[in-house]
Amino acid sequence: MSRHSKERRRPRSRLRIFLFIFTALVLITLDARSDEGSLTKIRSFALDAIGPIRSASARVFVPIGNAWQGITSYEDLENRNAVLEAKLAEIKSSTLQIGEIERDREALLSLLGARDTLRNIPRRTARVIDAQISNFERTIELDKGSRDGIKVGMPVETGAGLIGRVSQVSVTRARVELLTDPNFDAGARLVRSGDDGVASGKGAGKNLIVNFIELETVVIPGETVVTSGFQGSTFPEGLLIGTVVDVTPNAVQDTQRITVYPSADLDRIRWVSVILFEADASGPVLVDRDFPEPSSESGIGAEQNGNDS
Amino acid sequence: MMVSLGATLRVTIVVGLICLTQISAMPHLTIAGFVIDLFLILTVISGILAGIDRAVGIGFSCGLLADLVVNSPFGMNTLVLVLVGWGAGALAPQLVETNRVLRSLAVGLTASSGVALYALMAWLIGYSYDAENRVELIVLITGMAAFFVNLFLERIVKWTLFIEPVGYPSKV
Repeated sequence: MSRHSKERRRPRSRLRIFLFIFTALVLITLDARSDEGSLTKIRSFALDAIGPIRSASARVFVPIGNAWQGITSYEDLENRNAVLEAKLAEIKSSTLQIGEIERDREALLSLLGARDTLRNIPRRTARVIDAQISNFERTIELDKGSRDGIKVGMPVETGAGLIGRVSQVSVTRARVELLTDPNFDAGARLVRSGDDGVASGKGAGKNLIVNFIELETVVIPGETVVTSGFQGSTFPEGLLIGTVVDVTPNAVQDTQRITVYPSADLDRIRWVSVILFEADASGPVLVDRDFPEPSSESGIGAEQNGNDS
Repeated sequence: MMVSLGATLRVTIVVGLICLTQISAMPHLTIAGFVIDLFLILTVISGILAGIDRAVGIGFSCGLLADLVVNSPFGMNTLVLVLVGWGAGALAPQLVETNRVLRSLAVGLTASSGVALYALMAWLIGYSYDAENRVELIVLITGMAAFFVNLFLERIVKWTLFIEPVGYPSKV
């Protein structure tokens, strides 16, 4: 290419770069200004489109990935194994005790004529399809979507406790924002004192922080923290968040900063329950049980509507 | 710039395949829990081998695809990859005729800078993300991965962009 033609091309080249940058800035602005706009729809469409590809590829790459993890993170896996074995021993010893407490609790609830609202909220079991595509997001993708009654904002838990909330829904897929995400906030309650605060995520691998707990409240490490479920909250009352590991008083603000270790293991999630609970509803939302049964790749009952009711 | 149908087709195929690999295989083949960003690495290699013009085009396409499949603010990946393509392309005249290891080193360093740019951009627009406390690790791992990925992806990019073995692109 001659020097002359290169020089002639330069302004066009700059214009092209400027147009690309301008388009990107316009997209960022549009995304920031619209909650449920056309960009969200395009993303939902993309989520549906790539869903089957990711599901199919997961079958191939999960075993390869596991083998790869075994090679690259062997020491980490050994440590995890040791921690899990210790936890299992601890759980075994407390299972009998929990059974007794649970029976007492149910007896008391029936005596009071009260209803265990959390148990009566329908749930939808979903399989975790895949891990994150980018390092700058930590969401998990589920094999259930809006056709299964899942909506943005619904809480998601495993048997061990709350793991996050639904952040994006398409027809067949849903994405969950984990509770360690810095954008995550939830009303939290200390079970022992009944004092309420706000639990916030602080990033991957970090504990949650609960703020706005009064300075006079006695908080003990090991104490259980659950969702407070205030009116309008996206979480029902009583979902297990984690346990207190540290307490830092803030005399200036007259509050305490509580560090909470999440009870659910966020690293290896395979199955989750989406709690079909909506923020603005006065009570739990009962979802039509005649939802078309989606073709589940899981092989496990896709539905757990009101499983305990 | 005159771009032939063949060149466009090749770019489309390669960007499509990279996208497919990124969404299907890469989430499972992590290093220390971090995903290797092939979109970023492809943009950087294109810049270093073919200059600004093509790198910003590929960066723009890859960025749009990334924006479709990840949850960050829409357009952020596009903006970062266009800027990375621009930066990598500016390095092209100094690097095209060096040996492959040096080029891989440049790819690694530029990819690391791309991650840092992403973090900076996120901070500027007030986007919080889960890995905020581990950006330096992502920078390091992406740089190392880009170094090795370049060793085999470079050939594919040369084929895609009709680049002569000497290094600099001939006419398309």
